[in-house]
Amino acid sequence: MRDLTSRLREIVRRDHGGGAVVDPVRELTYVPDTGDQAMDPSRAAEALGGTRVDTESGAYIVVDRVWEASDWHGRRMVGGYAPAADAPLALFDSRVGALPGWADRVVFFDLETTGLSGGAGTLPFLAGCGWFEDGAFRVRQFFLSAPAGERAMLEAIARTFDDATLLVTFNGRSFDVPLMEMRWAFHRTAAATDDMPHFDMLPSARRLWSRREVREAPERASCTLTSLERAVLGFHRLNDVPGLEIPARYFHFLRSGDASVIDGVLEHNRFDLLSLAAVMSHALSMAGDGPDACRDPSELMGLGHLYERAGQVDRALEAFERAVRDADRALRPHAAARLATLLARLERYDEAAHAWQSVLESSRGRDDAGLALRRRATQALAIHHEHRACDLAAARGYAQQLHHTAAGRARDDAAHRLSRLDRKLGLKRTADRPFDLDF
Amino acid sequence: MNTLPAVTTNKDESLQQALQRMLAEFETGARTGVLTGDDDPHVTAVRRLAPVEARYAAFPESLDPRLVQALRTRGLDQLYTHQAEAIAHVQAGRNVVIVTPTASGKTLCYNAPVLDAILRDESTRALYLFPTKALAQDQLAELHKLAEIVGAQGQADPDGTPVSIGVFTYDGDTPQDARRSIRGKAHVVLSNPDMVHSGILPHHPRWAKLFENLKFVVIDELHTYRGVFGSHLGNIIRRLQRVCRHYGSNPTFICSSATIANPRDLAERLTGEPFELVDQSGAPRGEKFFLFVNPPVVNAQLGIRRSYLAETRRVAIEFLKRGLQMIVFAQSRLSTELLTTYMKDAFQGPPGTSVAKDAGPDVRPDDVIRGYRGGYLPLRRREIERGLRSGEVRCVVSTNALELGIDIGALDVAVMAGYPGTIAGTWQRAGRAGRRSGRSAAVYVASSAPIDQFVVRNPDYFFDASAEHALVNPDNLHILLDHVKCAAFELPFTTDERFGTLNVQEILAVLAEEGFVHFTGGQWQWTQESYPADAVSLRSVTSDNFVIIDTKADEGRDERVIGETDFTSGPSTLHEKAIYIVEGQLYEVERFDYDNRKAFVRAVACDYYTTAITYTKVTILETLAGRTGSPAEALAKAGVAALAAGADVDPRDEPAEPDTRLQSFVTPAFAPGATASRPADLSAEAGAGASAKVDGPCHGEVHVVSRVVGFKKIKFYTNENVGSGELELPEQEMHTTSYWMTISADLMAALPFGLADRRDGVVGLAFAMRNVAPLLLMCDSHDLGLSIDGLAVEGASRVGGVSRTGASEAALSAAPTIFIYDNYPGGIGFSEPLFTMHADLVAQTRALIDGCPCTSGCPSCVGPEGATGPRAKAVASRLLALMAAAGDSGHLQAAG
Repeated sequence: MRDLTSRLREIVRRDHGGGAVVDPVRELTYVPDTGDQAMDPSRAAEALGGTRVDTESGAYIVVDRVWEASDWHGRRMVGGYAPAADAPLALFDSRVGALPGWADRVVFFDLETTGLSGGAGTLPFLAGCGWFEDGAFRVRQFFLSAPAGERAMLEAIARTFDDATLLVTFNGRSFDVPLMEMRWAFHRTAAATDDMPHFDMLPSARRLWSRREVREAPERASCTLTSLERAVLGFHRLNDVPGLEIPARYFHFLRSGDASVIDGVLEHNRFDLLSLAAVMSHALSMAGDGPDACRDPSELMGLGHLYERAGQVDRALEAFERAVRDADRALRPHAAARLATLLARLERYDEAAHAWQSVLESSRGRDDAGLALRRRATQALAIHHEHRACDLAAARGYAQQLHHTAAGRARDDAAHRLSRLDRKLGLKRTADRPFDLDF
Repeated sequence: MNTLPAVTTNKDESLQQALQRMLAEFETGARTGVLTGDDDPHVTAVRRLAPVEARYAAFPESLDPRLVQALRTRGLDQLYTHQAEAIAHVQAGRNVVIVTPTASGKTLCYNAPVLDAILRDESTRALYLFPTKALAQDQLAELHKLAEIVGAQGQADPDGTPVSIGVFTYDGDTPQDARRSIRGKAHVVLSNPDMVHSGILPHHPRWAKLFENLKFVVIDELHTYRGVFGSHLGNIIRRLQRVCRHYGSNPTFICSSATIANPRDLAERLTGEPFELVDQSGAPRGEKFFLFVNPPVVNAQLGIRRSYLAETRRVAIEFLKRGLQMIVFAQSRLSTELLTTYMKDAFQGPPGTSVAKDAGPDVRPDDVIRGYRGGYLPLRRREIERGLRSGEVRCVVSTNALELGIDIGALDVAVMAGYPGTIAGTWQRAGRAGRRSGRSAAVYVASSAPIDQFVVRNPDYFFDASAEHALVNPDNLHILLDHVKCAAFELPFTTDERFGTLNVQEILAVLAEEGFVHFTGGQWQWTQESYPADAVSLRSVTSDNFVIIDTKADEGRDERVIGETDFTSGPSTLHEKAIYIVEGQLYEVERFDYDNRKAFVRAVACDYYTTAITYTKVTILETLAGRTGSPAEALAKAGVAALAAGADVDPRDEPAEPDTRLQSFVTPAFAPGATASRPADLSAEAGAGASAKVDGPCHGEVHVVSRVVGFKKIKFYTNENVGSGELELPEQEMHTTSYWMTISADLMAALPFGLADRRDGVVGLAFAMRNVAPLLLMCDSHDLGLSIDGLAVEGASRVGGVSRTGASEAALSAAPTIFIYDNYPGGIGFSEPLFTMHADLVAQTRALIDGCPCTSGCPSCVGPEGATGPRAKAVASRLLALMAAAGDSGHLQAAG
């Protein structure tokens, strides 16, 4: 009989019998686990250029960095990204934008964690906080040299939030903030984020910029901070640590005490914070300056969307009209559809019909998105010509097109419309069409 | 063609008539002496369980008056004695397990003290665990109603504060947007172990409010937590207790259970806490009759009885046509569907005939006779349950899915087609009839399976024996490891921390080696990105289900999911060309997409169903105990010459069967290649070739590979084999524990029979042993698996499909080994007891085979002659005699 340890090893290593167990992922070059000895927080703090902080509840490392106001980040200087009290934040988020003094002390916040799964075992091992002071961007990072210091770190983060007037994150509503709430709950302390005004930049960024890749489903378009900073700020990172690699780097550090793999993670986190501040500033100034500030039609569309959502109809119309005018062939039908939808909502039907017409004229794509757009346009035009323009022949033409291209229920609806139009037109029903009882 | 009569108004009277008719057969038999003779009685037992008077107790003074008032509003003026007893224990802070019959008011035993505590302290929280989502839903309705009335009482009382008691289910069906508010509002959370395992414990900080105030954990249907499921639950409770300690709570456990032999034991093993037992029911019970029916023998020589399904149908119709409402339990999903089909036919016509026959003016068999089983979609199941409660559904044919306490109202009759496998399960199913007062009946119809025949021929065994022990093994290393990982994810382990009572530091050290955890700052930190609970499924090997999609559900509409099947049984029931049955409607599988876990079917009309042929192969990983002593050597010496002849032939070189596709699977036991990885201390096995091996019994760890290799088409009613096919499906693997017995090569050689007959004999012996084992272990038959190694062809594993061509002396000289393994990954503790009971197992198997009235084998002993060969019974009997003789000469003492 083998000893327990070797039996355990065998079970852990081999499949448990059904392939249900995930093999441990060996990160980087695998370092044998040597336990606690390798870890020296002071040495790690020194290697990371930070300070070791010991408290009653545990120890963590603080790393402070500053970008001076005159440093460049992308196409602008850092000082230019500081939030202005009169910036139109309410366009993005009416609630926090309406808070007086929101811009007094904005804290940008970003976590690096041991996984994305959530759950009690997901640890935020690095919390970055950034804020502007006299035009300079200061970043304070809290790093766990050992997980046991988490409680102390949470307390320190809470103190940093103390005088904040607004917390700004990128995807914080679904990730960073719930995770922090979970950690505070884990340690059975009140969550410092509870009454804190919070602005998540991600949804607005999507609205503004996901049109760069024209899709019918904008939420699926790539809208990561790194892609935005390239496209919007003109900033390109060198040797950036990919986000997927970050948990493995931390585990490697824990096992080996080798802080060199963490440096890149700290830098990644700092750039995320600075770029978040910059992207927000850019978005706010674009929204304030209006269509003239946009550099391409996709931004115009995003801006129009933003205005429309904020109830600024005239500015939205202007943005969409300019988008239709300036757009290339791929984008134009989408811009026109946006314009048409808004016009219809404003009950400016003739103009809406005109816009739908231009959707049909400009849309040539054979992809699903293009087809769906054309169907929407055809349907809108069929309705418009039947009920408002009272041009039954034209309506019939659109209905026939619709019947031709649609499937399933839409096809049944089109058939109904056709037979109704036929009756109105006094045409003889064709034999294969069912008698219309709906009329 | 029968027609269905309207529901009877006098149920007692109708039941009396049906029973009298069946008893007439019984009495005729008794008067003519059939019962006492060797002939086969039809009704082998009739027991009358006298009605029992209620015993009441007053409401304890300690109960909150609002609660008492609410109970009175619901028509409860006093408690049954067992309820009062249970409440007293809970209020004194003692864990309690309640074992009383179905419909005895068990739920009040936990609902009352829980609501009482919430009324006293609004912050009180309770967690209820049910084995299935359906049961939780069922209980939700009842508890919700009671909680509402209690709340209303608070408002009515001028001194009382209005209370709003939150009661919610939290399971896989709970919408995401409702979860957050449930976490905050629920006083009582109704969930299941799977959800606690993967949805609650790993996210415990979100549940801080629950865990900080958790006063009660209720485990309903405790007896279902046996085997692997129970072993998982034991570990989930350990995790739960750790989390509770973290939040400073220490809940009281309240468990309720059907009758098993060891309820208190089981509760203590699962929770690690001491328990009080309440097992004296104060609830009344109506008069109940219990009948055992054995279908008559139709061919004495082959030992063939009338089909038990046909017999069940006949019995059921006796009751059904007298307007009684009933449940018919079948043993498998397939037999459930067959019986549903047969029952409907009785009122409608056989499948494939689409024209509905005259079924009476009012009732359509499709609505009043329903099937019910796991794979049905929840909506369909809820509809059937409602129909049963309202009386609209007159007969439901079900798997054990309705064995648990889902509320289906009071039925008149329960008919069991085949022995449910355990005494506890049989009583549980019988209890679905006659939940309230009034007369009821339960009928057990035996199949020809050996265990069924044993029980039906020995009714006293059933009526006098205690119920089974529910065995769990939370320390099963596979299961334990999985949960230590989950626990480490939830809260870091400290160096002096135990898991339950276990010291898990060694486990953590191994997990650290493999990168799962890391020791730092005095604690074991989880160092994986993954979420370990996701990789651990409590119910089967993986959490994947196969879904069944009707491709022609609705012309022009989307495809429609009509059912689901768990991962393990997917390949054997959903392979291409398989017939899949839902409530009597036949579907043929057009395409089986194993990788995407989908089967595409279309409705067909045909007159056959299919059964899969599964091939199983067992490899020994480690022998934990075995007999390597002298009797084997003594026997070996007797056959030296024969061995010498066979030893220099590598059995693997010999073509075992013309079907080369199977060859890669057929590795004779203990061939050198198979032993290479085994440790050296197994000296008897370490030698090369088949000659130096352990004969006699052993137990240890094994690796089981099974694969569906083909299927047969079986005609309805006649069970004729009307076709077959081959299949290429992926293997399924499992690591488990096993008992095994090797029959030495010389003993095989000493048998005065031909090669093929000898092999048939081993197959027949294995068949019988595998059927006797559950009786000795008092476990469910499904808990055990069977495989035979060392035969040229795995006869017993390939159901009925033994080919006799190509077997060679060399292949057979590799002494065959019979494996009876725990049918769960990691094993659940049956193998070692079976090993110690080896002598008993051999003796009982011998009694079964020699005592069977058939001439040359039948399904009740060594298997039907057609499947096992003409001399299987003779050879098996001879083998057992030889083994017994060897046992007398000191063989078995060494083993024991």
